[in-house]
Amino acid sequence: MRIFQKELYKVYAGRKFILVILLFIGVNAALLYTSTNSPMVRPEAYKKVYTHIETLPVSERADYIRNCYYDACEADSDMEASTDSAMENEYFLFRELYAQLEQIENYPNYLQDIQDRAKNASGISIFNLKDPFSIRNAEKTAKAFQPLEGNALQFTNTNTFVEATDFLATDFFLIALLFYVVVILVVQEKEKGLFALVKPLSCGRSHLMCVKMGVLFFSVFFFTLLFWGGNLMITTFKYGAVNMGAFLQSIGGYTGSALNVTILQYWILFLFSKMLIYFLIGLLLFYFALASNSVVMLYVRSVLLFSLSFVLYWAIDGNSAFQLLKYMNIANFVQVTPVYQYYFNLNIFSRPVNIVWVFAFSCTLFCVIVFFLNLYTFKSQDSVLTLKSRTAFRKKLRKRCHTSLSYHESYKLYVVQKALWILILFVCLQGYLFMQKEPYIGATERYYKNYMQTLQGEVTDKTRGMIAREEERLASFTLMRMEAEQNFAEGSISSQEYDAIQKLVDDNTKGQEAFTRVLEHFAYVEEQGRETGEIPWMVYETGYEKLTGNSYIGYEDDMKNAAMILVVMIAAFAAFFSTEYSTGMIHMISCYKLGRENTVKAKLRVAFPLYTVLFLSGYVPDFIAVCNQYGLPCRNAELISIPALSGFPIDMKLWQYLVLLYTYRYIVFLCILLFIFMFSTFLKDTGTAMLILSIVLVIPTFLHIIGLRWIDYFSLNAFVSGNIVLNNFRGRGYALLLLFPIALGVFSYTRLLRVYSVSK
Amino acid sequence: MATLQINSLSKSYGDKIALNQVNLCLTPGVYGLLGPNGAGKSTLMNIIAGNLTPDAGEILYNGENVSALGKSFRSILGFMPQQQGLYEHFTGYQFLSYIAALKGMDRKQAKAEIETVIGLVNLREHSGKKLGAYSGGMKQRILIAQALLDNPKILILDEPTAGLDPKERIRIRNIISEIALDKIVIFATHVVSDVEQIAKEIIMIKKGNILGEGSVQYFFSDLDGKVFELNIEPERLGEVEGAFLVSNVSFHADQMTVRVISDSSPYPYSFSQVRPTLEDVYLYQFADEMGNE
Repeated sequence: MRIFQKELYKVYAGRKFILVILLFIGVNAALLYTSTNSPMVRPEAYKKVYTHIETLPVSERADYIRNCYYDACEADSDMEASTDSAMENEYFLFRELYAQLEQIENYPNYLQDIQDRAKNASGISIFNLKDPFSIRNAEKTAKAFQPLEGNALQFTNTNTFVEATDFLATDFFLIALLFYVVVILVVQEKEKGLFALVKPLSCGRSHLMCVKMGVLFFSVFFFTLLFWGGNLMITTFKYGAVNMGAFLQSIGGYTGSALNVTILQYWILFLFSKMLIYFLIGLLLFYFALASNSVVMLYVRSVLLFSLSFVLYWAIDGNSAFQLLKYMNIANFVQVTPVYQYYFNLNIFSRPVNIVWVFAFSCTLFCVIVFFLNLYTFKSQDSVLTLKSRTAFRKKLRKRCHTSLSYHESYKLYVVQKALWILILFVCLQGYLFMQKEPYIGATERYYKNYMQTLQGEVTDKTRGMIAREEERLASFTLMRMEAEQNFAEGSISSQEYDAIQKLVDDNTKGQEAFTRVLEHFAYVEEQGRETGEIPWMVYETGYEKLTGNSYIGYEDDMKNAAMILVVMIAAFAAFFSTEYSTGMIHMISCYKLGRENTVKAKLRVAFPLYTVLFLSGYVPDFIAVCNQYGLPCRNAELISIPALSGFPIDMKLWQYLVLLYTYRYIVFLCILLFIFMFSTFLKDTGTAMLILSIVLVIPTFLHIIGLRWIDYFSLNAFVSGNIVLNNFRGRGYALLLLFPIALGVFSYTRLLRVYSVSK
Repeated sequence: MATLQINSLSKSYGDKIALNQVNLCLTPGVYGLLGPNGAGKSTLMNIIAGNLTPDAGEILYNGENVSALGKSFRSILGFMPQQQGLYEHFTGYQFLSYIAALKGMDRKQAKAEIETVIGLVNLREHSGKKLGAYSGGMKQRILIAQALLDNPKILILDEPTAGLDPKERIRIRNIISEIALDKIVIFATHVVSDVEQIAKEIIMIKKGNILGEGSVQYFFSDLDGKVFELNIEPERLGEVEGAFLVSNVSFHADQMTVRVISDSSPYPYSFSQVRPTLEDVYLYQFADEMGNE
């Protein structure tokens, strides 16, 4: 018990750690409070309505919602133009509530459907009864839902519960905290050589490791209750209270669950499930920490584990033979909700095995395996690091005398800190992801591409003629369709004739939707011509829109690329300067002639090529993929040729804009690199630096990807994207904004020189 | 002749005064810096090496402020810190090449000097091994070797003989003596015998203050007539320890010989007056500090 208390003290007595916990709690709370699943309806509106509904007798609640919805529909349809946003919001609010009410009222029918269709062996897509698994699956599913018959669902506050239990940011923070705990319990002690001190002692091996993992479990327990409990409190405050005594299926989205539990019981199950998966993740981090010789390798291995999990989760089809890799996966399990939300059986040797049991069994089993693996690893490892000599040839190589600082710094970065391996892994990953990219584009886009490739270039009479002819052609088929409809209605043509005409029209008007887009584009071009006196070119713009964040996915690709580059940069570079402090070499280096500014400059010279390769590896695959899929035609056309880019205040050609974009990104990431160096030097601790840099730089990109776009205002997201600032660039005033990362870079560089070069 | 002048040097860490108005004038030769843990030895050495900035005072080398000299002062410096971490993945040879690069040496010169210093510290056959495979003593020797590269004019050694066996300790002492002819060598140590054998001058430092600076004989004169050897029964040891400052206890047959330091003759015990050693001086000066350690 005393050892447990001491180990607990090591973790929780540190002021830094407590501050980090408080910071995470605060940020998590702020993010949760300000996020919303429904942009059209404010949380206060939900709260007001839910609170009011709770005051009504149960028998009157359905009627109230129904009446409010019908009133809102009427009011919405009466509006010619939606100038009254309050009324519009009310419509969306009650539409949502009505949908929830319908789901609850139809629930008995839903259950009956499952039983009927299982008996009749047809119908719902999950019952694909062509193989033994499907038949067994159908029977098992029907059996699973049988106990739910007779459960009376109640209309209850869905938003509170759903948002409290489905917030990825909380998972990020928790895993980051577990990483920190493992750094304190294992990595720091390893680095300071303390294992060599404790291992010879009677309780210094298995007992100590069990205690450390016990502290890890305590941390999991504590953080889960703190964060997820906090989430429920916040969403309750935001949306109102939820009736914990209602059945789980009362919550919107959980209708497909076969758990015969109340919301409160599910909440407890949810917390225990989270603890189980977090403990498994913590044990895996623990193992990586024991197996790694440095914080950098721990970070790299952790990132690789999560990256691999997410790639498998997203890349594998749910019905494929590899579905186990998709579903029995940290990325799936850590969310917990997908495990319980829908009743789902995995196909294991043609037997349906419920995902809940797979989750519980596999997590428990792996926890036990990794637990004992950690014990074994610790016991069998040498406490004292001894690096063995290799062959005589390598001994000879090592006798070469190099007096170039750059040579030695390169050796430190690429070989000792494994940055070369990190780079190779990243390049391989990028190559693999590039090969997985689908060159497929949809039919409408293909037609649009064909049209634009035919019409692209300067707008001439020929262009106008082609557009007019195509317009005429499509109009004639539209007329043909209308005439056929009329004739069929009059009975002057048979149904076969009617079908034949329809088919003819369909076959000849497949590109109609695409041509509508062409017409819009052409109208834009003509209007620009009238306004400016110079007609822009017709350019097939989809490729450019994708690269500049103007496609339907917005800046998501930018954020994904930025996140990957930042993670690799932190892994490769965070230790480069701080390691001199952790080894104590700084005391020796800094008192020699070239040990200050010259060493800083040598390190920067050495980091620069690696950074450049990294940057290119991050963006070139995407660029090539876009070129392959859509192309970048008419590069010499003016920017104004593309509507999405016409707002940019500086006249330039399309290729110049792309050069500007990528050059700006290059400079931004270079400035961030300097910031990473400066920050890690300032902290003098690689582990803490990596953690904080990940939180400050990487997590905001993830938050953007999951929909919390406002984070862009409080992070470097806009700059690492490049497109966000350029798309919003509105003149000279914004130049200052563009210069912010450069100012950060200059500040970091001067600070780095100062901290590294000047005595304390 | 080169001089290193330290004028009114002070340094504090919060409330703790690490150095208090230290004044020294160092010329070529070996200076032994003696003092208990926390006396300020490492602080003084780090300030000279440029790793710490003093709160007050200055250091002049040949009349010029070392801060103003900057790189040119650092180019004549050799520094061996205490309990120094190393790059585990570097070989001994690689490590010395790296230090040679930091000292701005050209390749030819570096190659020659590395061979010399590696031979001096007896690590030639281990120079191809990684530092992670070195024993504590070997790491100590490689650190001494790196300090000797490029023939520094000022050599600062913090506990250079710690962890070395007697043979190696003598070897290192001899190396230091040989090279100190034209160098200012400052070395801090707890091994009083090292200082006694080779130091031109001893600097005693206590709680940031210089207690004294001078030759070994200068310190002995303080203790002339104050060091005694008592022959007592073992049962009376406790009594003696309570009454006097005990420097050494040895046991022969059934008699105990206790070496004590006392301002007055240690009656009523049977005693003989003996010549003081530097250990006696150290104990006499730092007895209260050692009680606190």
